[in-house]
Formats: sequence, C-alpha cells, structure tokens
Amino acid sequence: MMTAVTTEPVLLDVRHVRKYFPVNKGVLLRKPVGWIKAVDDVAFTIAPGQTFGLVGESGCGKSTLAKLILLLEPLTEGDIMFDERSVTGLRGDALKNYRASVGAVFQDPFSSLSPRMRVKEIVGDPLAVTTDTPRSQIEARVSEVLEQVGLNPSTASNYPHEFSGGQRQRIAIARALSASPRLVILDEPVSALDASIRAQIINLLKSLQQELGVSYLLIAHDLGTVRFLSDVVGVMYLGQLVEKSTSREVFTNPLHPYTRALLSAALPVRPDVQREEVVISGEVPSPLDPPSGCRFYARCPAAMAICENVQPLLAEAEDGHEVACHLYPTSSPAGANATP
Amino acid sequence: MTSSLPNERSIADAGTVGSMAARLEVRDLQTWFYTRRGIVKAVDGVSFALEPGETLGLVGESGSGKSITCLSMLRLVPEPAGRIVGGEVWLGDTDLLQLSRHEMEQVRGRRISMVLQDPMTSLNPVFNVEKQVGEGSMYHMGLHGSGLRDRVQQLLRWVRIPAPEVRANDYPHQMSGGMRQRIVGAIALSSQPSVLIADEPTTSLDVTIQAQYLQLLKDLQEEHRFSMIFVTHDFGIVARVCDRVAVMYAGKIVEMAPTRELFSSPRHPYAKALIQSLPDPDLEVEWLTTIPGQPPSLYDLPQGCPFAPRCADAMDICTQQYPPTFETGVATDVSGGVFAGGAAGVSSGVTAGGIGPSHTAACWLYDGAPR
Repeated sequence: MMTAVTTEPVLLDVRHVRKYFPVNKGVLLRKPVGWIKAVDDVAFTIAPGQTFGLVGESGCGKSTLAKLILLLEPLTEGDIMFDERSVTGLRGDALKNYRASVGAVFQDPFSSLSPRMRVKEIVGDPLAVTTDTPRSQIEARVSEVLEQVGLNPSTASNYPHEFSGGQRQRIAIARALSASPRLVILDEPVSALDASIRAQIINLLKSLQQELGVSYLLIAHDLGTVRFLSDVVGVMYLGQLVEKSTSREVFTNPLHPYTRALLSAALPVRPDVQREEVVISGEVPSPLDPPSGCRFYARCPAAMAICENVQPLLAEAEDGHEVACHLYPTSSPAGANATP
Repeated sequence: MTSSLPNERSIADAGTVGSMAARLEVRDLQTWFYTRRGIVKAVDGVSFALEPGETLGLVGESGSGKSITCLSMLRLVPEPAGRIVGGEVWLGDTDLLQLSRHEMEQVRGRRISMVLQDPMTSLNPVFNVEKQVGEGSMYHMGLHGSGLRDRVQQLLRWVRIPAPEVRANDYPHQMSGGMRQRIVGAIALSSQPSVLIADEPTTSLDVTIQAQYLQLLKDLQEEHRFSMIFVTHDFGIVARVCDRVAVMYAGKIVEMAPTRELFSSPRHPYAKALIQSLPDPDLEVEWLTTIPGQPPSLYDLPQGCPFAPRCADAMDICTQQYPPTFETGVATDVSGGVFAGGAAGVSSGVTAGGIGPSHTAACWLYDGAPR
C-alpha cells in the first residue's frame, strides 16, 4: 500500500471539475435564476491500487462527484483523465472500455440489485454490456467472481431476495468487479449493513484490493471505515475540497477547522478515548449562492476578517498535506492579508 | 448551550403535567407477531429498570427487538399481527399493560414520550409547527388561544429554535433536518414527561448536526430531569450519552452493564465481538475482527442460544438450552480472559434492582461451573 501522495503513476486525475445545476423558475418560460454549485473546482488524483477516501456531510457534493466520474452527469467545467486520456469526449468502443474499467458499489443492496434478475445475470451484466465476452465465458467469470467475494457459485441462479443484506452487498461487489475494472467507486458501501456484517465486507474490500490491485474511490461518512481502507483522504465541504493528505495525517493531524469538528463529531468508539470536543454551531449553508469567501466562514470557530471575502486556496501547508484555510499562509492568495 | 432562563422555569412549573420522576421497570416483556410464516418472537423475555434521570442505551442490530420493546412500553405495537403476550411495564406504581385504552392515552405523550428516527415522516407536512408542537399541550393541559401560543414558543425556545415567534408559523419543509428533529423534541417534551424514548433520533442527521442534537438532549435532560431510553445501533452514540447499556440479540437482552464497563470488559461473546469489530478512527489496524455468519432469522431460531452458531466460545450446552441471566460482577480486569468469578445464578427475571454497578450476561460462560 502506498502512502505517499502522487509522484507515482496516476490512474484517475480529476482536474478542477465543476458541476453546476441550474435553478429554474417559471412554468412556461423557465428562466434560470441561479446555480447550485454542487461541485466547485475539485481536483485530486488516484494512483493504481490506491484508495482515495472522500468524507463530508450530505449535500457536500461527494456523490455528485462519483456520478461525474461514472459519466452519469456531464461536467460543467474541468476534465477527468483516466489513464492519461480525457473521459469526457469518449464515444463507441472507447466509452465501453471506460465503463468496463470503472465499477461501482452503492449504499443499499436492496435497491441497487434488480429483483427480477438472477444473480448470474446481475453479475454478468457489465461483461455482457461492455465487452464482447462470449456467453459461455461469462458464466465461468461469474462463478469466479462469486467465489472471490465469498459466495457459493451454486447460488448463481437464485434471485436477490433469497440473500441477506450482507450477501447482497457481496453480489453488488461481484457485479462491480466482473468486468475486471481498474477503479471501483464505493459509495457508502457498508452503511446500510448490520453492524456484525460490516467488518466482513470492509475486510473483503481490502483483501480484494490486495489481490486484484484495483483502485478505490471510497465515499463514506463513517470515519472508522475511511481510516481503515484509505491511503489518501479528502475532506469536502459545500462542493469543495478543504483538506487532503494521507489517511494518517488527516486523522492524527487535522489542519482545517472543519476537519477537526468532523473528527470530534465522529464520536469516540470507546468512552475511554478522550477527544477534543468541537461542536460547531449552525448548519451547512445552501449551495445555492454559497458565501463569497471561505464557505465554512459562518460556522468556523477560528474565523478571521479575511475569511469573509477571500476564498482560501487548497495548497500544501505541511509536507504532503494540503488545506484550504487562511490559518495557513499558503492558502491566502498573494496580496491578501491574513490578520486575525 | 445555556440553561433555560429562571422565569421560563417558573412558567413551566405552573403548567406541569406529567413530570413526577418515576422509575420505569420492564419485567419479562414478550411481544410476538403472528404471521403466515409462523410466530416471530420479536421481544422475548426482556427485563430492565430505568431509574429517574438515568439514560439507558438499547443497542442491537436491525431485528433485534429494540424498537418493538419501546413500542410495547407505549402499547403501540401494530395489531392484530403483533401482541404483547406477557410481562409487565411498571411506571411508578402502575402496570401500563393493565391500563384501559383511555387510561393509556393519559400516559402516552404525557408521562412517556417518544422521538422517532426520521423527522420528515414523523412530522405532518400540512400542519404548521405551532399546531403540531401545541397539540400535546392542548390535549393534556387544556391550553388554547394565547396561552397555547406562549406555551409553543416556550417549547421552541427550550429546543433552541431561533426566533420562535416567527418559526412557529413555518411548515416542516421550510426547516432543515436538524431543526425538524428539534421540533420533534419540542413535541415530545410538551407535557414534560418523566420518560423520553429516543428511537435512533440522529440516524437521519449529518455528523456535525448529530453532535449538536445529542448535546441538546443532554442539556434538556439536565434542565427537565427526565430519564431516557436511547435506542441505537451506534456504539459511538452509546459511549457519548448513555449511563448504562443493554445489548439485544434476537429479541433478548444478552448483556447489561454500565457503559464504561461494557466497553472495557464486555462479557457476552456477541457484545465482545461486536465491539472488537468496530473500525476505530483512532487506530490503524491491518484487519478488522469479524463475526462469522449472519444474524439469525426470527422465523426459525436455533435451539438454545441464538448466537451459538456464530460464537467462538460455544459449548455443547449452548446449542441445547438458552442460558439464564448471570450476574458477572463488575470487574476492572480488562485482560480479556473469560471471567468466571462471582457468578451466582440469577433467574432470568429482574436482577437486583437499583442503579448499582450490576453487570449481567445471558451466557453459559458465566454459570460459575469449573471449566
């Protein structure tokens, strides 16, 4: 497992991506009256075999980002490079190849699997759709991945309702892996599962990565899961990355006040671990017309004058540790004055 | 957060209805569901006591019976499929299960209130906040007109809703998730209950909002001195708010202990394994400890202890007979070895009453037999 932040080869390169959703008003003549800036200038990279963990509260743009990478939504601005090629203009076979290279596992294994399809159809579907694999080989491949995720291949003819929640999530993982992807997007992969099942699935994801060398983009709000699986962690707030570093750095040396609040709010797993209590007031502002300076300004316990008007930049404040906050001079644009 | 103003407290005391502190005791509660596929013993012999001012955590996975336990206390089990087939629920010196329907209505929402998981579904979208928050005060306290309006604003202030005189006219969709859940809290507190049941109240909230809400509940408990049953599957929340914890598995309480005790020396193999399997944001580990297998189906529970098929310490007797609840003694020994001292069989009924440092487990490991 790598812990260094990219001078290594890059598999996925998200370059200053923006996604704005128009807000329209009027019944017949729908006029755009504003934009929801769901993702606003986000950039990061994922190396082969690496896990990038994305944390943040609901509405911060994590899942929109996943949809952009999966090409389920068009970009407003920026670019996404996969294996050094832009994915935005892909057509035909190139697009199919890309779809085969990127798998996804979603939160709820009850709604993400079609109740009318047998397990072998569900798991074989990505192969059938994105590759020219002959039918006979698809069955063999299905058995192979089912075994990899710890399911008995003899259950391939069953329907999803015959499985428990944990087993269904294994089916969803098998589906994500069947076309041998190089990147898998995990959107809250364990939060719908029972507590006694979660550890099984988390361990499975980790061992599959070691076995197959696949990269993960992990979206989760459970920080324990993120810490366990991720090499690099990015913290999002209101459409922007506010902090990014190795998993260890973010968890042991959080720099951004929001990250600190998030870690504090993540609740101790054991009551004997004393944690700095940072209960931040207020709620996440609307991404429609976000504040002009730092987006965390109104809730920040360390807010300064500059924060209200000047947007901090994500920049390296410590070795390999990037943060977007005026508390660190690297974040303030030249000429701006960061006085408390 | 600050405590309420003294003049508010006096208004409250003048109009208090249900707030006599009372001990709640559940004895051998059994709630079964009669379905076409068979009988589901959702709650099967649950006993616990809740002292005035105490917070008891009820933890378990989905289907372990924690929510049905709470609904049974309020006699809100969906009928006719579900039936409370046995047990007693004592609030002070009244057995709630013996009350008439009408008498029960005087308890529900008045002496025991409940906060449900999702404020989006527990609030009515077509009534404004004032109407919904005031309903309890109107029904239980007979308030109306300006008196009722004042009461609603007071309740909104208790739960830190800014500008209550304006907000009272809002509808639920005009509020954020955290604020909606505070409205639900205001409704629950409206007749100053002695017991508040919170059923996963923060699951639908974001983590920073969750932290705010837990803090609010703790502050309110201090101000209004109610006892609380906190239903959750999240051990982090347990660690933060609960004095004692009851761990449920397949309709039964398998372990009960003061919170710190449970975390530092869990006794039941299920609780032990569950706590060990939690990914800890403070630690870097190579692999997580897992619990093999699946939670059992309540339609066909195995004979004996339902956890036995997944249990690393299972013995012959475990697959034959369900263990009684044993007092395991409070140990500060955290060595992780099997604790067998001080084990005296306590019948599966109510253990020694009182808030004393009792640590019980329903597991044959603690029957005191030499091994």
